[in-house]
Amino acid sequence: MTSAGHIEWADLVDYLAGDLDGPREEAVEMHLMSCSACTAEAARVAAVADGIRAYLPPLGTEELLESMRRRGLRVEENPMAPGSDKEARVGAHLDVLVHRLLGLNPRAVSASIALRVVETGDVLMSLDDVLVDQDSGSVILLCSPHYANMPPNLIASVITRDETGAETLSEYTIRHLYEK
Amino acid sequence: MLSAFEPARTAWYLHRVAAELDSDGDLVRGIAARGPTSAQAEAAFCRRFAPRVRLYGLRHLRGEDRAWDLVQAVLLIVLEAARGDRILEPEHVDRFVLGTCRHVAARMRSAEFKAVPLPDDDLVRAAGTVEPHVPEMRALVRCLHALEPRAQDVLMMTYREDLGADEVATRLDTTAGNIRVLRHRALASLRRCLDGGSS
Repeated sequence: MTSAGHIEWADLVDYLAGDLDGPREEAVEMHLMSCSACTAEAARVAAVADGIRAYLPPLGTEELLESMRRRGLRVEENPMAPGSDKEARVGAHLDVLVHRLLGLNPRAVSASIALRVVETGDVLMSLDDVLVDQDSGSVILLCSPHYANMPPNLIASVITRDETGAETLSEYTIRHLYEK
Repeated sequence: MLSAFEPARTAWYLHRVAAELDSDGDLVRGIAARGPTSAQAEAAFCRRFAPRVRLYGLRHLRGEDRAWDLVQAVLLIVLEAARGDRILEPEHVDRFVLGTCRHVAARMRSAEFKAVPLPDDDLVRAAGTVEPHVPEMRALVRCLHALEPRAQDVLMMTYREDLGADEVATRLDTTAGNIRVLRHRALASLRRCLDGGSS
């Protein structure tokens, strides 16, 4: 408890994460049921946690895809070959659209990716140390309806480097159709 | 010049303000009295307890929809008890609400539970005044990326993979206590960042 008789921030975080033991959880619940200020603070923690649950990192792995499917998220795949130019529908019918960028060197020792806007050439994102899946020779780019306010037409440029240092550039043009 | 209706509107307003300031026990007694101000007491009771019950639902049932099912089911039971003067200790109605939350949540976890739409419009309206404070996604992404990578990992494992502190600690080769500290500090930084300060 704080000096004002409210629940400590750390205890609110632990409570909502399910990490308090029985007696402490009971004490926190008793207090929350009688305190509007602590309830409001805890609701704020819960909202941020919900935001994190909904947040999607730009690149994924097979494990992350598997975990999203286990959690019941609707995941749709968009396989793309190097040099392809495709439309992709994003909307309320799915939670995550997976652009699987194929045709990359599975033995690449390193890779980087940049996302550019087709119309302006502006770079939206640039990441080094990208993992190329050794089984499929692909990189998994994730997209969700949350990105509806981003420019829709993007070029993903992936540069892979082999053990000799030779670089290979592969480009994929994705035209997102955001639907309500 | 005031019409004959003006005093009534003022009286309604004053009753409502008074109800917001009443103790829990006063509200329960006001509901039980079945008098002219009972409706205000019920509405004030719902506004006070709906956010608390929702939070219990978020913790134990996961998900906004299930939390709202709990709010409606619990408030209906408690209001019925108050209307029938069956709450023995009105000043401790919070305990009664918590006990009802536990009971109803346990039933909701069983497969056969089905949420029943409520006929009580006033209750639904009063309980529906709680707006979840959802952070704007682009601001959240910016603030998340401003955190140390280890703090980001802890938050991702906790909230995206639903891992407890023990499991996160095993993955990151540290102690559960350390993970708890990292987690609450990271969330405090996120909150500051989302409020417009630096992370």
